[in-house]
Amino acid sequence: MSIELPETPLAEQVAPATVPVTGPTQAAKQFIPPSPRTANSWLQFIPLLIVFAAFLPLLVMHGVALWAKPHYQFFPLVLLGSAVLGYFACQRQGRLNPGRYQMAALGFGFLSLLGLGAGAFVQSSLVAFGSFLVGSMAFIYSWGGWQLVKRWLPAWLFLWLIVPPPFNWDQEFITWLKFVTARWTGYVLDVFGIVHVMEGNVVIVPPYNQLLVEEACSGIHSFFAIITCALFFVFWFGRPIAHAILLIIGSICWVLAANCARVVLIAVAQVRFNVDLAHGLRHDILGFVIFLFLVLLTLSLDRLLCFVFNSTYSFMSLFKKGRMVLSKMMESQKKKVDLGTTRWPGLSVTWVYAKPILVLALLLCVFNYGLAALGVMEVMAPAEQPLFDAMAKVPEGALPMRFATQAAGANFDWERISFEVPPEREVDAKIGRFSRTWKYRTPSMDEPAIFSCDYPFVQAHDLTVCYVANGWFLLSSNATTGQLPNGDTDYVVEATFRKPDGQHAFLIFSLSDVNGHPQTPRIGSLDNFWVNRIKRFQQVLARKQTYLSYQIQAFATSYGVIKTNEQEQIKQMFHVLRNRLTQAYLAAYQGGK
Amino acid sequence: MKPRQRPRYRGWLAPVYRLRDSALDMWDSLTRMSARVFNFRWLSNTLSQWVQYLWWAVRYPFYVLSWLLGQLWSVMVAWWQIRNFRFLIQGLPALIGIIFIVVVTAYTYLRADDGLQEMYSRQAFDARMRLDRSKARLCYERLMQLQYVGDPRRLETQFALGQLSDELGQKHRAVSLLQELANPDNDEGLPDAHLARARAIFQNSRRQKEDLLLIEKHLRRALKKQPDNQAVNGELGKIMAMQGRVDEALPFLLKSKNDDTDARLTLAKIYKMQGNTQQANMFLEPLIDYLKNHASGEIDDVRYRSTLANAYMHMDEFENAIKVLEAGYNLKKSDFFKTYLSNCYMRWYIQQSALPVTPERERLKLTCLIHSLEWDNTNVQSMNLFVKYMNNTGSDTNERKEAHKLLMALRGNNAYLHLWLGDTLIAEGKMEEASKEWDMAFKLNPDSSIIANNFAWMLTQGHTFQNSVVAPDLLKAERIITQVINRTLPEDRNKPWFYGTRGTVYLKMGRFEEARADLVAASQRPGAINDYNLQKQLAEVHDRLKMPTVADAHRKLMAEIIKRNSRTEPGEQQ
Repeated sequence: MSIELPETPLAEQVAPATVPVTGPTQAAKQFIPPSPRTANSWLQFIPLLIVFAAFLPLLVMHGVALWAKPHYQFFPLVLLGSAVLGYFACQRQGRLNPGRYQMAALGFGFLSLLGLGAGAFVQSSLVAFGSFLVGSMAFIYSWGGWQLVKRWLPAWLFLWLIVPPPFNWDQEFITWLKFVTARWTGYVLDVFGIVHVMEGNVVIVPPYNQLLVEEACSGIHSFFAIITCALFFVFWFGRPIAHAILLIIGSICWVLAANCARVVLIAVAQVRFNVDLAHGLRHDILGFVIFLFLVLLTLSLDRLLCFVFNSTYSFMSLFKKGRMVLSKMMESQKKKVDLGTTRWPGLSVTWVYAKPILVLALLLCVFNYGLAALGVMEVMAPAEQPLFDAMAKVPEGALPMRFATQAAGANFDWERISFEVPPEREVDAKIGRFSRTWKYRTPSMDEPAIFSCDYPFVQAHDLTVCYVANGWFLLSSNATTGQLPNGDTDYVVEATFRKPDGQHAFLIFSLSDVNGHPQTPRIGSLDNFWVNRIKRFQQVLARKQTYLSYQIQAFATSYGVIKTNEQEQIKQMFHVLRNRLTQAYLAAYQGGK
Repeated sequence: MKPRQRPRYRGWLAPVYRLRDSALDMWDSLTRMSARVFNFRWLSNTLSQWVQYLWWAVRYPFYVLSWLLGQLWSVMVAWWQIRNFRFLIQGLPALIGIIFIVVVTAYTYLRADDGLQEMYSRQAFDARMRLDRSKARLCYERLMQLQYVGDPRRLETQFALGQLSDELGQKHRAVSLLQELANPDNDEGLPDAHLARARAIFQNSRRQKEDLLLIEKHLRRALKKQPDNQAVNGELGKIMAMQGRVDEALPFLLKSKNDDTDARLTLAKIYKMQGNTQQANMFLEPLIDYLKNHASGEIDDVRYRSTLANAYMHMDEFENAIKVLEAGYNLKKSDFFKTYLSNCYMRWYIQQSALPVTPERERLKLTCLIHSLEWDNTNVQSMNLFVKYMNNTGSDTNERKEAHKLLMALRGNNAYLHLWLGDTLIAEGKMEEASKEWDMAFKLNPDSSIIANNFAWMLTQGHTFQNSVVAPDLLKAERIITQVINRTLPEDRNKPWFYGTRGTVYLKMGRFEEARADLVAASQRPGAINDYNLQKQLAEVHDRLKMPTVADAHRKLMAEIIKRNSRTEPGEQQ
């Protein structure tokens, strides 16, 4: 039978129970607000609701943005976990006193509302959610003082898990994770003697089946979920910091190992038993089983760490106090300290009741709901069906059978040789759920060039990353902008690649939103951050930007170096075909509307 | 040491005693001093002290260590005593997982890369044996990843992958992979790749001089890296022999493999050409033994049978050669064997023609020609030999008649026999009948250069068709003969004849500049100097082009031809 050490020293826990709460001496020492009880207790929630309502549209927008990222689709569980942690943390805490430094709380509350305003202006739900968390901490302190802060800190920290890193760093991390998984998978397959070749994140096994780590290893998404689980255990059991750090590191290792195991299992099943575990129900079952296994392993690791560090007594306490003292401590631990029913202070003492705050919150309510009503704020997942319908109406013949391009004094005659609509991919497929692909051949190049339209994408999509994941080495990449006749700024990315077997490739692609307006395919850096944000807000207001977009690319390969004049020809081919495709698509899209 | 107490001596001997005592004292002090000087106790003391220090230096770390270990042990015992084993059981899956990961990681890092490469090489070999090309491709691609740049084995892998890509139809990839391995301009390639490239050029090119030189360049690059490579030596020898450089070819051919039948046969041919029959047979006999075994073992192997027959022919054992080929034909009804049999009979005829004339031999010669034509009635060379034989041999009329009858019977759909008949008729001055034969020949086989040439020539003269006289069709003749010239290789020995025909067409069309160029090209063939008609046409064209001196020279040649051969009649062509 294990005996847990108390989370705080006994003296600290016992003290509040013994000190009388009322009395003139105490009242002089500690600021106690007037009784929160009012005639109608529900009315006291109105200011709080007003402040929360100001945040609500951007919180919903944040939820929508998170739901669009498959690896963050676990966020409802975080909310639930945080609620559970918070609920149990505030049980039997006796009387809670409001924070002593209410002005500081007010300052932080004001800052959080300013942050909300900035978030609404730059259309960043991330800034808004960060502000919400700051404001909520200020509220917790304001309401229950340090005691409540201490009790609710784990729940509050837990909520930070649903704040994705900025500038798409989470995607970059996932790309790195896939790379590591693919590499380790290669090592493990070698250990098991499975013949394979690694090309980027692609594992190729006999009979030359390509298993994308993305496809074979959607467990990459479980990474964030498992980290969340590990943190929940840490907060729930109140583990010490060293234990927590080791548990989180161990969980990361488990996820990596499990992802390797998943790909290895799929490869072994494919090679040895000719069973396809990479698609369909079997793949889903495998994913579920492995996730369950991961959760169990994380829990098991927690117990193993308990065995090492914290079996019966703290290891250091063994030296400090000796076994006799420890046995006494053990006795004392058995006695639970009960501080009595939690008695909450009134909400009127909190910063949300300050009149300027309420005025500001009301203004923000009007602003945010106005934006949401105008459709500027994405408080709902973008409707994809019109895009799908319009694209489905773009026929093979929308692009010319033959056309010529001219560059560097040479003419290239392009001839369409095939048209293909690949089967629908996974919802979270990195290369888009749908594609329409045309192949054009010119006598001047070895291999036919691929012209493809892929959709849908939410926000930016850097296609070069996908090709690198497929085993291509990026040699050069260049993003250019230009002015279109309708005044829009055109964003085009060109890149050259090479494969170890001597194959060269040239890629040119662009991204357009559902209305055909060009979008930047890459997430910007911190340079000109605010200028870009303001521009974006203007674009959003002018309805020149939506989050849903489609991508157009031209990709040509050759076993020799693709010369500059050939690249020029491909660029021209891309622009000619893109114009034709955009016209055909817009006709179908507007007709559909 | 205490000084020794001396008694007080008395008497007359006292000085003697005192002397003795002083001597003894002196001796004592001497011995004491020497004892002090040679006393090494201090040294032994010092040494023993150092040894003691040393021993302590050795002993105390162990004491400290054992003390520390003891402490640690007691701590661990204490730690172990207060463990909660329920946690260990709950943490057992994680512990097993950690152990597994550690083992796999250690195994991966400690394992030699060579073992992995060996596994993939073996798998690739097995896959190639089983014709599982996609698996072989995987293995080679992985090997390319495992082998660092500069590893000599990487070149072999690249070569294998290149060949495999070619087999899989990935031509561009194959070219890309093999190009740098068989670059004739540097020594960084792979001998096998150079050899393969040389063989590919040999098979796919027209085997012109520059092609053969390129092949030689590749083979020499290969030999530079592997001077004793038997296959490369054999190929280089064959290429040199083909170019007529037999002396240079010999040392390479001698290094060829014993089972390289072509090289060995070429070697024998060279010795035979040099008149060294014994040496030739020395190479031929083992070759024949090898081929006999091989041909009997693999009934479908056409190449070995043909080489065996070739070897027999080189040893003048035509009967055996024919037996081998007939056996092959009986097993596999192939046109190849028919052609080879026809050639074999023809070569037998040529061999017999070099021997003194006897009735039996004449009969044999005719039989050879007839069999040759029976096996392949399109064998132009046999047909020419037959015509020559029929024209020149008049001793056995009955047999000639029989042979002629046979040929007439064979004529049916054979364009070449129609051609031969046309030639014969025109030699007899029967222009119209000859035209009919040539017309029929062209209809039956318009792709034959010789037939097309004759037909074009016939068009320049005009002919009869269905009892009506058809006027010369120069435009059609020009078109046909130009096509023939365009598709004929430069080294084709018939090409000058074709130029002659076109020159005739141009002459008749009045295009004298072009006619002159073609007729001059036609005059490059051996025996042109004896062609009366050609010299006449050349004289005429030069006259038309206001070049009287050259025209006179040709007229002089015409006169010499008439003088030399009074039987040469105007109107002869081909």
